[in-house]
Amino acid sequence: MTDQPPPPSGPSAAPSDPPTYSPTPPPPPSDAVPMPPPPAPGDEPVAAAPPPQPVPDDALVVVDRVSKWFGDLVAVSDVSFSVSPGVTALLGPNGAGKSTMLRMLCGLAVPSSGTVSIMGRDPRKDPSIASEIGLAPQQESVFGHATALQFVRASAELQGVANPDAEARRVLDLVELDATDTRRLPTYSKGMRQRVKLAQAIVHEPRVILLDEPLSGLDPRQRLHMVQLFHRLGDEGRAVIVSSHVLEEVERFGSNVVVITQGRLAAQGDFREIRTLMDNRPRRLRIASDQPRALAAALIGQPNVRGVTFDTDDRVVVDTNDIGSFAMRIAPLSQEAAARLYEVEPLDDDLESVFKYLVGR
Amino acid sequence: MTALQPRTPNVSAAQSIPSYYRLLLRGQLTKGRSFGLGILGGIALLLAIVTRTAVEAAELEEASVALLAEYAVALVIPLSTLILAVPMIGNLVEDRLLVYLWLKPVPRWHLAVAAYAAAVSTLVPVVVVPLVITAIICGFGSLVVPTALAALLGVIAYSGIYVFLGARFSAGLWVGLLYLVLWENVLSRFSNGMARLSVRSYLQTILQRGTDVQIELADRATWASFVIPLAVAAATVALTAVTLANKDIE
Repeated sequence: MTDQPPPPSGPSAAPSDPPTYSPTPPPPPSDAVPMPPPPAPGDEPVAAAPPPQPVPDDALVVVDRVSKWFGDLVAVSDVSFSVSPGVTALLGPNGAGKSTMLRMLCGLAVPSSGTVSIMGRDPRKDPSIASEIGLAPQQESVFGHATALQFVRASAELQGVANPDAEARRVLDLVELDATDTRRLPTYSKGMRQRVKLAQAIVHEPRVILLDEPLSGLDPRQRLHMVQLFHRLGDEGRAVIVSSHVLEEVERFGSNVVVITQGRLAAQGDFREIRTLMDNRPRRLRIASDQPRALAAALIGQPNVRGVTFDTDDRVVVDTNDIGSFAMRIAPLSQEAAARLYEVEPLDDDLESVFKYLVGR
Repeated sequence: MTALQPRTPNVSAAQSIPSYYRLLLRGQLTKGRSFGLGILGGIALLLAIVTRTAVEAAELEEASVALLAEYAVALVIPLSTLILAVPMIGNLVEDRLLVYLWLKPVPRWHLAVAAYAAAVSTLVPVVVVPLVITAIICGFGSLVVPTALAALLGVIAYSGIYVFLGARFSAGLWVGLLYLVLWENVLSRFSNGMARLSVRSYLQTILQRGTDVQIELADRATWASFVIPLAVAAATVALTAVTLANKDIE
């Protein structure tokens, strides 16, 4: 595949690669980033792109400076990354642009700018590459008239699988569903429908598997089974991209992670390094005390304190760059200041704040 | 970059179109729609019986032609087709199910042809057959074959138009209804030139051939009355395929 576009500006998802972070400032808080006017195709993107990284030899998916906007609303902004065989998590909060990205990866949506290639082919212009793509979309809707076997078998037929009925039964067994079940799909539980969607996505043994929030609705045992199945598929040399907004869930998928938030690539690389970075990020706390001024005076000058302010209720708001040492120091410090502590409340412990921090770096 | 080459898919039109067809047919022929189509056909039969029993013998031919031209051709055929053909792809878009049929290694025209074939094959028994029975009840043997041909060609042409509108517009049913009311039934009556652009005038021309009763604006060439509906069908199926190729799929 020598006729590839220039190397994308994002790094590979190889486990050995260090994580990199986009240097863009934090965007305004919203589900998608409003940045009117949107860049016209071919124009330079609004946000600065991460530095160019080489695409690994075994990359199956290459995303090169892809943006997608709907009118004035930018859903994905200048994102570049590549994915090699194995399990890669696409992590981001709800509305971050994960589903839009997955839709572009399989050609369902056209990028407003940039290019997507699956095994060197444009999935939008070349329908034949769909034989190498399996997608389990996020939506719960299913064909109301079909049984699980009929649905998966139809998918196998349309993929040109040699023995559609046998293959459909095999993958239904793989996802722990009964192929002889004569119930219609709408009568299935959410978890069962998730597994049917997964079965139709893998019945033709694609090399790129895209799963949009596939663990949603599954019980813990099924989750474990599905994660094991994802790893098995990844070990077979397939690129399995699993989107999720749950940090703890992603931890179980493996070491490769692509973090997208507010339409931008926030981080990519080894999950453990990103997790460490997330845990060690600066934190903001709100402290209620009977002597806020005295406590604030004591806090100023502490090596792990970056700033001290007051909120409207005269409570102390502290920015710290080392939450661990601050937690150990705050009690003795308040004692020294003769201030009684009523409450210490983290203000940025939600996932959204973590993602914003990554984007803002 | 990987040295892996994608597999060459091995799905012919002979494989994919029947698969699409079965999925679409089973999914779209709901009880509600079947009931609606049955009502329209039933009304045609009822009107035929009323016409046959209540109208004077001297005026029976004129009344029968009016029934077939103004109710059957102008309303039953396009409205039945609207009810069934628009949702053929439109409902898949609305229910976000199109993704399961779109992401396959086959050209988009396979899906367009299958949706069209599913619409036509469903409509023939529920539209053409009742209208032929209506013509028989009216008692004029010369009207039976023209009615059958007009109904068949009507289903063929309107199915193409409405499958396309369903694929193209999220409010395909309303766009189709506007087309039916405004274009086929209002604007096409303004002039002979505008009538040339309505499917209805060609169907009524076919009906005209079986009777001496004059039908308004039904003066197209006989060959055109057969060729134009077929051409409309071919063009709109092609447009559906182009729409599917260019549309963002949810």
